[in-house]
Amino acid sequence: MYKLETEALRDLVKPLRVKKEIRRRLTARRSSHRDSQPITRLRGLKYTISMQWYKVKQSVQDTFHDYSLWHKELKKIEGTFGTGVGSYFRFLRYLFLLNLAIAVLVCGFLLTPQLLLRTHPHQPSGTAATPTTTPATQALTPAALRVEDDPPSSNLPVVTWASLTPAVSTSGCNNSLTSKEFGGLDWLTGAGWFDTTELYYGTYSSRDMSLAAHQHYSMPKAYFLVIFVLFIVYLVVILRRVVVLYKNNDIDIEHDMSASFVRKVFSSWDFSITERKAADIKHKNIYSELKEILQEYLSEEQEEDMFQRVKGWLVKMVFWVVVLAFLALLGWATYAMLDLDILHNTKSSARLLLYPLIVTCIILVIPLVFTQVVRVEGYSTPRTRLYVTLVRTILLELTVLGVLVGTWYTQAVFAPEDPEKPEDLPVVSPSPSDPDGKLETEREERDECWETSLGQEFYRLLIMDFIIGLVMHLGTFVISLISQKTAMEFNIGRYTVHLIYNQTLLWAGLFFCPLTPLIVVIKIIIMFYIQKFILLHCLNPDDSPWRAAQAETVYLVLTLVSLILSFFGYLFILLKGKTSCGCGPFQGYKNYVDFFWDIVDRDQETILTIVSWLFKPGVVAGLLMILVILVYCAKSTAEGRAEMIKVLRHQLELELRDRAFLLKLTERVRQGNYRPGRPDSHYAASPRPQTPREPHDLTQRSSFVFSDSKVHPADYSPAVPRFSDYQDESAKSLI
Amino acid sequence: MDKLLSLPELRANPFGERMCLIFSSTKDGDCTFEDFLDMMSVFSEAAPKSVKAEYAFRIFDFDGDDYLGRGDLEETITKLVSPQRFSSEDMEALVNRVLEEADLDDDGMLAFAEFEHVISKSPDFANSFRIRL
Repeated sequence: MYKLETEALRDLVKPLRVKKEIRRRLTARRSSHRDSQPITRLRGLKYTISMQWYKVKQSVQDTFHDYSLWHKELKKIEGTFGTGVGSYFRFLRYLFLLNLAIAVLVCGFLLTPQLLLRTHPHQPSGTAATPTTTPATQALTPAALRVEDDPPSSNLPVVTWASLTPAVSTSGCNNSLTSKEFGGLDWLTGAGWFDTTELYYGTYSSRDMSLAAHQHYSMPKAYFLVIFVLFIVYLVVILRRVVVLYKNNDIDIEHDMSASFVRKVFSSWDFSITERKAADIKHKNIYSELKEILQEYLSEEQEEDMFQRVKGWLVKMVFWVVVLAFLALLGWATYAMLDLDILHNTKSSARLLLYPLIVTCIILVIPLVFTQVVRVEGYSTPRTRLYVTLVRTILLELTVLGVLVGTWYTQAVFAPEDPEKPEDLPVVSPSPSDPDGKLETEREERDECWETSLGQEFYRLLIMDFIIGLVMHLGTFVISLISQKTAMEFNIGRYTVHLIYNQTLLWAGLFFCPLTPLIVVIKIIIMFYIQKFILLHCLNPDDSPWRAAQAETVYLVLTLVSLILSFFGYLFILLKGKTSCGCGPFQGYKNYVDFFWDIVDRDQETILTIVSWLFKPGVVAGLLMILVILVYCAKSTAEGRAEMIKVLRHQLELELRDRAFLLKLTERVRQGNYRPGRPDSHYAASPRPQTPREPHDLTQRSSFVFSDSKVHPADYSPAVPRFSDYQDESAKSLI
Repeated sequence: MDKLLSLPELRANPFGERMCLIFSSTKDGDCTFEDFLDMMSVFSEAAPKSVKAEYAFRIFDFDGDDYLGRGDLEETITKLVSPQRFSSEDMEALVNRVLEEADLDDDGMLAFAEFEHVISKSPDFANSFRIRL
């Protein structure tokens, strides 16, 4: 109740003084009303609680608003460059805060126990039974593990680093966790010394630790759950934001493409501009825009005949085929390069850096090529050009990342089948049917920790991207110093796609390198200040117009798509992948799936029954059917509403015509031209002068058209009872 | 009013004068604190679209007759593109186009209902009609 009234008050268009008056009267009425009808204590308590809660919520929101990060910098940027560029920096800040929260979670749940484990002093009975140790003779089945319950009341010694014995028979697994020296290029490659730090999946232990008596912290469970929960959190947060933005910006935009002139005239001035220079540029923009659409309209573009239209389609199709072929070629080339790397088992740091360098250059340079190409193709509006470029860039990134993960994954899956019998491997390798036979013999020489290696690749990509980005910004700065004339523009599309690429790297690498959020957070902070500096000192505002609102939604949707794809990638790996047996929290399990069965079996048998029931084909089909039906219902509701909008719009037109007609009629009545005897004709005899809008008159909306100079509202009310009565009612209902 | 117009939020705004006039309670352009608060609250992010549309209508209504007539539209366009100028044929074509698109009852003027109808559908309006303090 309280909230409804506040909102109604807020929507009323009156000066502040008037609103205060209304509120005073409202509270007076409410308190008097309350005296007449005593409310029960319970209800009074409920009201008090809800009001207090509302106040608390408001004050918390206000505090957050006061302390919002980078407020001053954002205001400066927006003032100089307008809302479009401002929206990019706001997106940057949003991602920064999101990643910071995630990084804190990761540090808390994964990093800290791992560090505690590492630094706890060595216990004398290092080989005491731990929950996951199985006798070497037993095969690793879920049933076997069920036997090993947690020893009931013993103080489990915290297992130290050195006594890390894998549960499976040890002959097949190299313990790849020997500490290495810190090499020179290790910051860049992430290999070497970093191999055994908490940066990568491989160094997280697979033990259950005891933090206090009877309290166990199972590292594998924690690892899996934390990553899973983080993905869900990301998904929910971004989904919610996409929905909110879509509701505000995109609803009904498809149905109303006609009023472009009006929109340009009334909503093109950006009220947040505060600098003279930016205002001048904006004026020029608006002038050229208006001129352009006027030309378009006046020149009356001919309807393209069939031939020209077909030609246009053909050209676009050819370009798309070329682009897709190019992407396929690129994918194959990166695959070949990766294969070569893995095949030769390169260890030298410089050679390791080659692949990330090339990939990053590709990702930064090719979109520029795309923007040039798309100009030639002949798309109609700048917005279409932007969307096409965006789609192509995203395809490029997905290709590269997909090839990376896929290559490593196939390496992992085609691992030796039997880790207990390594001496069989040389026998297996010559078989012609096994294409990776040669690799396997070499593989056992390497660290058998493919997750760590993949994590290292992601780390390298991130760092290389950062460095090359710095180099490019430096280049921009230098160029702008040299020649004042070639002032470049801040291309929002390119920067935003770059940001999305970073975020995709974060998600794709989260499982293999849990500290990616931290790295990306640090990167974003540095990038923010550098880009702000470059922006304010070297660049000019973009000359082409920018539809900021819709673009924001598109970018968030792209982020969401990347997130979902990485999530599915993980599901696939988890279901099918094989763990490496020497490292990581899941060592000791042959497949990742075994870990699930382990949890499930150990905890409850009913979960297994439920899960297996859930995945029955009938149930899945039923769920899919229900989903399809829901989607169909939603779509038909949306279409129905669109129809309704058309009908109401038509009604609006008709009502306005009615009003015009009645206005003329009343005018005639006032002038005494009207003949037939109507009961209200004597009202027209006294024309009143226009009363100035009196702020204390609370019963009329002063700006509404009925209070114009020709007719006084009181004359009007009997003739057209609907409109003004409606107005009076709505205002009176507040009093 | 000059002091108001020297604020960073208003100094580069071609509609700055109109804003001061609309929100001033004494109608001469000088704002009390409450008037200023009014203005900032209408331009804030949380203000509903209807309130913004209402005040936008008043700002664009230069002659104060509660209609956006041809004169108002011409004045708006002139202020938007100054220091550039449109030729008179261009200006007339523009105004005609605007009226054609938005004027539903063909009386040559935009009433508030027509204005709100066409403007609240545009997503850019809420974004551009906003001052972040």
